[in-house]
Amino acid sequence: MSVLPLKVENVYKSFHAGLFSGRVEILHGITFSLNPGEIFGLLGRNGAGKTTTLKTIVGLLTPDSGTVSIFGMSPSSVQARRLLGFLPEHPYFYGYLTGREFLEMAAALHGMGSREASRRADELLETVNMTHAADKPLRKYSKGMLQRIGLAQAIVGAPQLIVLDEPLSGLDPVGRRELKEVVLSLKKQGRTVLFSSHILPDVEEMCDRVGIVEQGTLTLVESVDTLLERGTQRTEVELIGDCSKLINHFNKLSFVKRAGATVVTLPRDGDVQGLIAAAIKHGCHISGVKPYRKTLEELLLEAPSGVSEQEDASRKEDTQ
Amino acid sequence: MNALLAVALNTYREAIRNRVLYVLALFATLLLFAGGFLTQVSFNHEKRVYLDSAAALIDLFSAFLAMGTGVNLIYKELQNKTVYLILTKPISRTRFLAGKLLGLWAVMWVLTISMGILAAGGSAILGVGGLAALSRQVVLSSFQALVLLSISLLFSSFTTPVLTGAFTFGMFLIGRFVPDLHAILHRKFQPDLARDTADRLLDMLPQLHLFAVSGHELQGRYVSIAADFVSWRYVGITSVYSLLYVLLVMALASWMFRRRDLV
Repeated sequence: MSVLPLKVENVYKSFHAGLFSGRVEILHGITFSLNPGEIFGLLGRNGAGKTTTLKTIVGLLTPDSGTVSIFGMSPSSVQARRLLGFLPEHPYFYGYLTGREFLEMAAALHGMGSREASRRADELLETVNMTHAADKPLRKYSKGMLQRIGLAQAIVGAPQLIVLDEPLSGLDPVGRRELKEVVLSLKKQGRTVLFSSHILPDVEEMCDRVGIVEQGTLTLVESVDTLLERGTQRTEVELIGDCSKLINHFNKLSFVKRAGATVVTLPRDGDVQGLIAAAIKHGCHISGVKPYRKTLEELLLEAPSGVSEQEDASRKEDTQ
Repeated sequence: MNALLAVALNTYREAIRNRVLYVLALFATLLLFAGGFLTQVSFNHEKRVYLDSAAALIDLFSAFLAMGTGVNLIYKELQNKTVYLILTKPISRTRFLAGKLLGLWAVMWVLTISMGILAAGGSAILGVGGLAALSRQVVLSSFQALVLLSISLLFSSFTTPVLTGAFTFGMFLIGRFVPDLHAILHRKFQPDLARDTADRLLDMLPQLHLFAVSGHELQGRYVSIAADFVSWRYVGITSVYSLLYVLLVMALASWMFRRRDLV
């Protein structure tokens, strides 16, 4: 049986609220896992527990109870961290180092010798399009430039699991596009990516699955396709040619003329395949099929709180 | 090993590129020259006055620089959150601490050797000699700096810079006066369990008086950098003592730091 890139089981985490206060529980039994080669988006409002979850996953925090395993190993082990790359939210850097020096140091932390580290730094500077500023001190970098260097250091050791905390926030559209391309290319290389984000169109574009964290609990884990499928409201099929026979055949559907074409609208559960097959049979040409669906953002805003059935079942298993 | 050296090199770079360090080094240089000036008014004791003031400067400056830089050693990494980028890489927290310590110790060597060279230059100009004794003091001061760095690292692994500074300075003061404190204990109290315990506790503290011996009595003889200073053998034994002490302190620091949540 292959080992999962990441397995988070029933993780609880609390912090001291103050000298005379008790502990405040931030995570309440977070459970999920990542499949090899997928991009998983962790969504949730500010303060929901996304960053605490990510910090626990990368070993910066120790859970009060529950376990995190990276390829079957504890995140506190050096071996696990060889397979891990991490970009924190608002990454801070050593301002006195240049971009190249910083990446060389990151490479050396992965055990590379100076020549190999230098080669790897150059390679990554090119990947994140930062070669032009390689020898400038990091304190002179803009937010977008720092984010790119941050992503470069996260992938310096060619990790199998990459954890990115809000990697696209604060970037201009061009920067976002470039960073998204890097992340998607990581997926193509078979790497697993976990990232948190507030920018839902990016999540919709990049992620295979998403998880929603609310008040320290994972309330939903779902594939993006399934979520969007659920949000499909209607489908429009655009036909060209003589469609009178087809209209007679489907007299319960509404057909309208629009810009020289006949457009038929099917409800959410309508038989699109059946209509297309019939249209071809009756000599119509299909010029377009257009599903109208809600965006991920609309769906998530509508989503009721509560644990998904699947998660609930696995949680019950865990506690038994 | 590469990872440990990477942290050490980064710490060294950070300190060397810090302008405050240069201001302090300049201040030390000025004081060394002031020491040279003192010889003009010391009437037949030029050698003793110059070498004593130079040795005291090297000793105290390296100690205060070690405490000053050590206080922020871990805190700055936590405050600036740079530690998030380092400790999620394949390096253990113990190696991270060791790298930080080695990096700053390298800086201390550069500074104490620079001060030693300046002092030697002054000595050559004034014709007072004492180069061998000065070099032994440089080595002793560098190892004292290592002990102080490790102590500040221990405290900074679990508390704030202010408390780290206070605790480290407290250890420095007590460590410098351990023989005097033993003497006071023996003079004021009768031999009993409490006194024995206090004696043992004092012995467990860093014996920093071993690194600043000029002008003090050592094993029944008066030691002076200008006349009868300690041998290289003494320097070697004291250095080994400091290395062993640092290993113990680092083991404790590492144990504390491994348990710390990096919020």
